[in-house]
Amino acid sequence: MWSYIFKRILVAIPTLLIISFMIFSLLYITPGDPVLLMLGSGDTQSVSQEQYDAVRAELGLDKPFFERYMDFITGAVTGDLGTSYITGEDVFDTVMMRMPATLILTVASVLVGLLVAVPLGILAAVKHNSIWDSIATFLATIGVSLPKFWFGLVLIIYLSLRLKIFPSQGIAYIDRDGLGAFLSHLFLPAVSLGLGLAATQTRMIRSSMLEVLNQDYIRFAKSKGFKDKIVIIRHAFKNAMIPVVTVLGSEIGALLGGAVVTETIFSWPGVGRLAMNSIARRDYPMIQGNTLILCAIFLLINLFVDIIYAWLNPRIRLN
Amino acid sequence: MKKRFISVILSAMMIMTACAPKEETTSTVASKQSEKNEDIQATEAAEETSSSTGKTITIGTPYTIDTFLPWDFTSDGDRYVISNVYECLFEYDANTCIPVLAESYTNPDDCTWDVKIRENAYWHTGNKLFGDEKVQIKAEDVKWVMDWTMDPANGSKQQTNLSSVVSSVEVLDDFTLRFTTPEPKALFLFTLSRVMIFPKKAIDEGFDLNAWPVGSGAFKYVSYQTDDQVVLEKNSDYYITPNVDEVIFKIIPDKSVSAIALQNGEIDITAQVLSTDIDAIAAQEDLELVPNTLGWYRYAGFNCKDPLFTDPEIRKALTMAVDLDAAVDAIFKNSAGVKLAVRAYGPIPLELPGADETLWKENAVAYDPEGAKKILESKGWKTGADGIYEKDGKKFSFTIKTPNNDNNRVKLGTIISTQLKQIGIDCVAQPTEWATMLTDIKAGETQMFVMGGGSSLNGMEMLFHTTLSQSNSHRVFYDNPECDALIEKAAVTIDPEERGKVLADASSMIVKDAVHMFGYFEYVQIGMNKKVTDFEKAPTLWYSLCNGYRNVGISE
Amino acid sequence: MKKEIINDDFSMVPAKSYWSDVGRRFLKNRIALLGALILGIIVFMCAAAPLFTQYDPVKDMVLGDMLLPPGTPGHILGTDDYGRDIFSRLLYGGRTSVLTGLSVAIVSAAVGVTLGCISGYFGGIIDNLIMRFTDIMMSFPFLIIAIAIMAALGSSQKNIVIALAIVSWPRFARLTRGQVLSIKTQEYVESANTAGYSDMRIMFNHILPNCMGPIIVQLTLAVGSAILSAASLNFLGLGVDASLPDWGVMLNQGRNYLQTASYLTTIPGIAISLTVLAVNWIGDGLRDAFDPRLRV
Repeated sequence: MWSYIFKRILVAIPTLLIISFMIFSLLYITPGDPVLLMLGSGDTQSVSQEQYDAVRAELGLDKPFFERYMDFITGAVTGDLGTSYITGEDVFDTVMMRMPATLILTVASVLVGLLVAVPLGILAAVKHNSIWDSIATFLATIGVSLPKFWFGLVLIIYLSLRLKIFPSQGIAYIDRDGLGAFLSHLFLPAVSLGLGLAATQTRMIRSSMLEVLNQDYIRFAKSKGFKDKIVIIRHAFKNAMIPVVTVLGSEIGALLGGAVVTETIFSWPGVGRLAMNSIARRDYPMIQGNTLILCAIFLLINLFVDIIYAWLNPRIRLN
Repeated sequence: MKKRFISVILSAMMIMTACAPKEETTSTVASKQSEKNEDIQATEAAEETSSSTGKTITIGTPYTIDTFLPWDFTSDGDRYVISNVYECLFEYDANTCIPVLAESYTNPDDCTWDVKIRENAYWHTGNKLFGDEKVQIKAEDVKWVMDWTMDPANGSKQQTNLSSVVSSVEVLDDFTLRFTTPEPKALFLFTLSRVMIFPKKAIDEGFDLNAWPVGSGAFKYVSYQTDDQVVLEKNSDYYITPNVDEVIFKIIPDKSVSAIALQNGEIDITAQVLSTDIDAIAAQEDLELVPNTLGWYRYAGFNCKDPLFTDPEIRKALTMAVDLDAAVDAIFKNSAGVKLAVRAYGPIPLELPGADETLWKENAVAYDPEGAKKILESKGWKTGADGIYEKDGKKFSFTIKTPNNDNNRVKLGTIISTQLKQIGIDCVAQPTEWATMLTDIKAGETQMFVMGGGSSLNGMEMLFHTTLSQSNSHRVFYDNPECDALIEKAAVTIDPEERGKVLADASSMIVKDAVHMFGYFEYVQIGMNKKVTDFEKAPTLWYSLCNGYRNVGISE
Repeated sequence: MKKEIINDDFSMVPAKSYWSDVGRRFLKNRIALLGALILGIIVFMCAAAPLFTQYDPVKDMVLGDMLLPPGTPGHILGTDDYGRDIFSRLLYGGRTSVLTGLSVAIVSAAVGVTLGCISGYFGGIIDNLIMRFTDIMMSFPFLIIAIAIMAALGSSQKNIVIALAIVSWPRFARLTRGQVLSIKTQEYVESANTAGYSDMRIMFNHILPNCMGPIIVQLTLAVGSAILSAASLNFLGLGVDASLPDWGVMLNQGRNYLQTASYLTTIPGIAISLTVLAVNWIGDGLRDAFDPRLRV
């Protein structure tokens, strides 16, 4: 197992190299001029060609593609992802500054999501083709058919504006504002993200449970003694959890990349807003850094997922 | 910043333990609600105790903070904060010049400006740069900033602006400066309103002004929590005592949510109320809407170089086909009857010199779709089998690009395209990502585009001059030497009335040639709690909340 | 000899009769048929839109009639903020939305399932290559992909489908691989192996039918999210024309009217939900039909 983990970490290095090259080339062909955006394109700013060229040279954008890429890679290898065009701050620090907020929101929304999905999914499977099943399907359907901004704004309009139960915006820090404020600021964004997650997971859990309930060995188990029955059912259940874990892994990865819409609506200072902003402004170092960090996160999560596979079904060999 | 980072991590760790009990309570909704109510009461109570020690005004801004560097910012959101911490010599609200660090100016001849600065201006104390030492600002400090800004090596974003109007700066005495301009410059004072004065000491000592801004404004920097809020406190050394003790800028990226936060009393001012939220704010007794002093110009520009649009008659015909009055009404309709925008008949905001609606209307074409068809037909366009005009086998078909970050502009573009479709022109409205849009306009890769801008004293230059325009987001490739000459003349005409006449002439040429489909002047509404005082005197966040002109406060 | 090795009777069923069995089981499933009926009605109404409405969804814009509530005579579902008939926009918009939703789901499932199957079945270096590639695709910024596609290929509905398929297939791949890994360990697959069946036959006849459950769930849900994501791509400039109707675009258009004219979002929202629900029911039916152990 340890050698497996070690091997996977080794594979991460070429993976990150490949993605860095891909993102670098893609940014190269993407329209949009960071210098133009940096210098202010609006009404008040006059920018002479000399000033424009100076900034372009300062950012190294006048260098040929390959040279720029080598500069980036040599920096990245030594742990330096560069500095943001816009703020001049270190890219890694800038992302990490926003990571805690994203982490908090991810954990909270996954909890909300599972809290809804697990009971609902199991209920739908146990009462297969009953009214409960239809209700669960119906709720899950609505969950994926309405956009995230809709959940966010509806929650804010009803629970904050009308009922005044929760604040409409922002994060609260435990040290600055206290635990109560912290939780009440967290609640709405977590619920709005969690419900979307619950929709997919409810369906996944239902389907997996059906699989378990219909396995021949469950029928077989019924003929066995109580102790054997438990063993067999646990085995079947664990095995059926594989797709649930897979999807959950992907969801968590995506959430850690930042939930742009939810962060924007709830004024949540996470990495999603940073990522979107840096794309809108063509802040190349920031976009590259963000992508590399997110890729590392995905590699890690999917490694975990694979390890969990082996735990769920010991016959799956990690190789 | 490091400290904040650590405490955020601590919060993150605490939530891991704190989350479990929170989830358990969801089973009993009632108990949950009362718990939450207590939370809110608790925070309110906490706020009350803090307000007994001081008055806080909380302002919602939709913009992310890019930088605190006084020479480096370009975004409105940065300016909101920076203008409270730093001072410029003059502020310029629409057409009104307000002295800030300057006290007065004289204009002995057209190319000389003597500016006297206040004798009671000091750099902020209580920071690592100046400690508790009260250091006075003198003329030489200001001269240094001007010279520093004009030196291209320093990369100030104001370098081009300032160098184009100032040729040299001299110190006459401790508090008087003499600016010399290469030729008479009508926009001299206006240009100075963009240049913030910052301490030389910071540059000399390598002090990081981005991490801790130190200026001479009415408010001192306290803290910035990433993407969350900026806190400023009052500068008691300022020559006017600010009416608030603390200013908090809350970053709320979604404008609708910001309006809700205002309705909830979470913030006192919101920077911009969307037209769709106007009714809700207007309906609430304790809130009011304050329109921006200046109507921002929004238009649909033709690329005059595009083969379809080289002929002004065609541009006129297309303009005639669109009911712009109805379009503007539809975009800004609200039942509260708030004036959100007025129809534009020319390119200069009505508050600025050069705006002359009567003259424009004389030169403009009116809504007349039948007339439009006649012009098109007289130019050889014929309706094809599919009802679309064609000429020499080519269809009259083009794209109008609209920036996707402003719903009103997308709407204007969509209405224009639909009404053109109605008379048989295949016009596609394409929302376009902002950065792509700018590149396209700069490269001339547009046919028509919806844009906004030029809503300042140098607007005509920005929008239409072939060479002087250093702004890349308005390229219509309108090439008229006569018009250029008038704009150049305006730039060296100091007398405002005279200048206005020249600009009016230039702008009516634009109207006559239908270079733009003139859209509207948008009066952006700032939403405000009625307990905020003195704000509406200069209803903008662009300038300091406390200067010689206004001193924003908050009543209990 | 085979009988001795293969102890699961299903895997012995010859492929042909298994697939016809699937069809028979599906037709016996009432909820699945209801789903198919709903989807059929939706598709028919959208395709034959001019039969049901006399309004043109784009050109019939009467600015004076904007934001009429549902039930207004002449406008059964009201008008939008441009004064266009919502019912007609809903019907015409369904043409693009349903097509986009289904094609994105099917294309990305086809790609993802194939790659996932190969990855899980062969394992080792192939698995590592394919899975690291999915990791890359999952962490790639979607916006950049969309903007680059728009720049390179131009704006069209087809390119929207391409962009969405590029970002959705990795989930199918991971899901399928996970299933294959676990099913691969079952006795009957191992015995099929020893029996000398070809890899293709084992993959498609023995393994794939057993991982259909989660794949179908993912596929049906992908229909909804594709319709929604298509709208955001439209707004980025990947779309053809802002004035063309599209369910996702209609939803976004109503965003600022949630308090004043909530029907602008609820109507397209219901349309999307109904489609996704129908597809889900069909999916459930398929799942049951595919499940060889679930005898109807």
